Amino acid sequence: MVFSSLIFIFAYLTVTLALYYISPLKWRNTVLFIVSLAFYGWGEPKYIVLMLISILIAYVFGFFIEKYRKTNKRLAKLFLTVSLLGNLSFLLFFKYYNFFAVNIGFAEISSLTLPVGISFYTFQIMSYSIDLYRGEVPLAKKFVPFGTYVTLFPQLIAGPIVRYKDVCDQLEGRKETFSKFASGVHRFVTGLSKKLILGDSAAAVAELLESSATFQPTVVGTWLVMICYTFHIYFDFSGYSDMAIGLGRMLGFEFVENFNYPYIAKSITDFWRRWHITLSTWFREYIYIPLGGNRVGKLRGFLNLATVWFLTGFWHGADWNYVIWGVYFWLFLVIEKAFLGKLLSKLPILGRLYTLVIVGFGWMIFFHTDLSAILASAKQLVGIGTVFATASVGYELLRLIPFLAICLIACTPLPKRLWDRMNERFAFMSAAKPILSMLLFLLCVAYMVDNTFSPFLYYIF
Amino acid sequence: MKNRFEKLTVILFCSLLALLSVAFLVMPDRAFSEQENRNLQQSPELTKDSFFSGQFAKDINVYFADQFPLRDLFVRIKSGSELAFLKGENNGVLYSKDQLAVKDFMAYRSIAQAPIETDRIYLDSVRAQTEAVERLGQTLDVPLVTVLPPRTIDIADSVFSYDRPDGDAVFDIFDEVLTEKAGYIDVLGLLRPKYESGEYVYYKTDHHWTTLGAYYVYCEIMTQLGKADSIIPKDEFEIEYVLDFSGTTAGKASFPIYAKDTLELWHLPDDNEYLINSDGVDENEFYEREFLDKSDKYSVFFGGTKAVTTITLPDADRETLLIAKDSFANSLIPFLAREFDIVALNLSSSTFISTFAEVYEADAVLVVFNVENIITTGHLGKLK
Repeated sequence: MVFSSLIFIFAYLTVTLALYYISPLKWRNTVLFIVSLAFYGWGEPKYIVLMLISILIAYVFGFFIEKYRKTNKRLAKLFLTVSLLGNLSFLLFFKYYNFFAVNIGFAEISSLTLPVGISFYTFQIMSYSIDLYRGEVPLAKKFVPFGTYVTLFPQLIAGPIVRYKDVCDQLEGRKETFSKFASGVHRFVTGLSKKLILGDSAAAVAELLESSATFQPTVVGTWLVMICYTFHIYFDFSGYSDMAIGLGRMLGFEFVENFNYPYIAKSITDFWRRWHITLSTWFREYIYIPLGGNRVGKLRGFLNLATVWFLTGFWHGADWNYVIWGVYFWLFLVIEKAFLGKLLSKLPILGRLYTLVIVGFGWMIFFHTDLSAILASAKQLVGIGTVFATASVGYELLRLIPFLAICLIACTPLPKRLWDRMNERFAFMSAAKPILSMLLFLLCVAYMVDNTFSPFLYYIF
Repeated sequence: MKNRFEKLTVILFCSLLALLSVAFLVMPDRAFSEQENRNLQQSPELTKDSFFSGQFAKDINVYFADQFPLRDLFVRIKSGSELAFLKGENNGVLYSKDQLAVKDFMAYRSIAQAPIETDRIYLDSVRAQTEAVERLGQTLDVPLVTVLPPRTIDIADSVFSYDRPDGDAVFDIFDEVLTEKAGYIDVLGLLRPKYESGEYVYYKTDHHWTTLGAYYVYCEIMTQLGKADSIIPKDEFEIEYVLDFSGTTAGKASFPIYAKDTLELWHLPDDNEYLINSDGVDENEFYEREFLDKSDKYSVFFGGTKAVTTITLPDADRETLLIAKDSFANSLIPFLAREFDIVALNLSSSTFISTFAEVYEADAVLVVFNVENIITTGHLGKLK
């Protein structure tokens, strides 16, 4: 089930909120656990079992890790390894089996589909085992709250990747308040409109322009495609995170932020501090720093970074273009560390443009599993062997300018700043806020009613 | 103070959720949307297979959207919002001001919301299909007339600020492949200039030609078959105007502001009593008037597309015209029926035309199949 569907909002969410708030406090986690399993099982029930086994492995081995953590480090480490391998093996098998089967050629391609959200919940579960071993979180003694942590439907299938240590206090001691619920509603509606009104439209335009480019590629057309992809993935994914955070608040949870206006970043280094923050944090905490981080020799440091970025790319998908995508960013991070970073910090405007172009082309790599298509679009962007524009691209460009301008503004902190300032200035704004929010919500409903169904991008990871 | 408005937010949101959820459950399902002119998804059946295959999940999403409370209103809000972005289209339907009537004019951009250049994808298929028609013309013992009605966007391309390089490529193929044997009538060459000089030959909100457009095509067909002398002059008809016609194109776009079309029924005073049989049901009128009260007004012509329609004039010895057709022919047939006995077959299901021509002892054969159908179905290529 995806958040931006009528059935989620007007069947699932209605029932879930009602059940949750009529249940006595001590039953609420159990209610959440059950409804989250229903959420997950919708459409593909067989993988519920897989997820439950993953949870069970981490839960059971947690007791062993906790038992030997202080007395027998080696034994604790062994249990940690077994627990992690158990979880990772599911991810490796379901996500990467075909990739290796094709590239090494040892076996037939399997027809198994990827269990939804497996990349996300596996990482969440692993964060628990590792942090438990490190002594940073208490042992999860009860199964239901731990199961609720993993399956919690707002963040189950596409993040944010909430670490156990970030929410373990909230699992059994959160407070639901009007204020939290209200801010959750606003956040949810914001995310919904980002996804439906901006993200989906940008995706549709990109698709249209790409199919038109198969006949007559143009420089302008390829830039438009790149721009539309760039908007699409941001509004889609950050919209999803907004909705997740909003839904969490409605249930009394406070999740960590996942985006911080990534497209105003002044460098690639800066961009990755603002984009999918929970994933970068996960890789830093559990891979980069254990490898030694940057407190090692220069060469070793670059290699550590390379490992992280290879894995980051590969995490996004079992295909070469994702690996290239990861390595591509590693390359720019290294260059920035070496000399470019200092230079860019003096030229903020140039830095922003550079970042947008590099990130934008990154999305072209991201969206094209066909490597020759990536090369072709690189050529088209700089105009090698391509006409500059055709009249039909001109038509599209002209009619899209207002839409693209709105998208551009929506990527910056400007709308929020304006909103906050108006709230300070005008007393009536606090009264207008609920009304405006509901109108926007109804507009989103209109987009869902008259929409060809479009699932989330990150749904496939 | 602040807390009060937070409470208001929560109450408003929860009431909206509850209200719309309950309304969805309680309100009876609609079978058909008058505004969009299409059937709506009904409650999908829950079986073990449909659930585990994911089909149920898919269908119920469509069911939710189609049966959602106030659907018509929401659909209009969405298209209004799309226009507010100045995108100039919604669901692939272009929107323009008709240069002559200064009214809203709509056309499908093309099938599947794809750019018009994608016509080029189909050029090979169009050529193969056109060649099938040419072969039919070569093998038939009786004269063949071929009418391939253009899309609205072909006829009215001058009003859309939409550039179409090679927009007429499909028609170039018709010109190139079809010889005299196929009796090709260049409808684009006939009706585009008429449209541009201000005549109302294609609907604004529907993909068909108007009765006037059909009349012009009728004149060409008659001339082609050597019956120019028997063409009934325009001024002999008494025209009945049916207002507020909003067709399929408008249904797909649901633009909040648009003109309605006027549908014309052309009557002949002192007309003969024809015997009309549509799929086994006897009628004696060309027009099924109950459709005039519905949104699907174009179905007033023979009640929409039927598998077989025959029209005869009792006690008269007339030539027989076999028509392999789609819905464009429905408004054309009343004209032709004044001259010929008619056997009209739905082209998509009956492709063995030479056999049918023998069975019905046809004196001539007419093919009417529009460009959108040629591109999307490929059925024209199966003609034999």
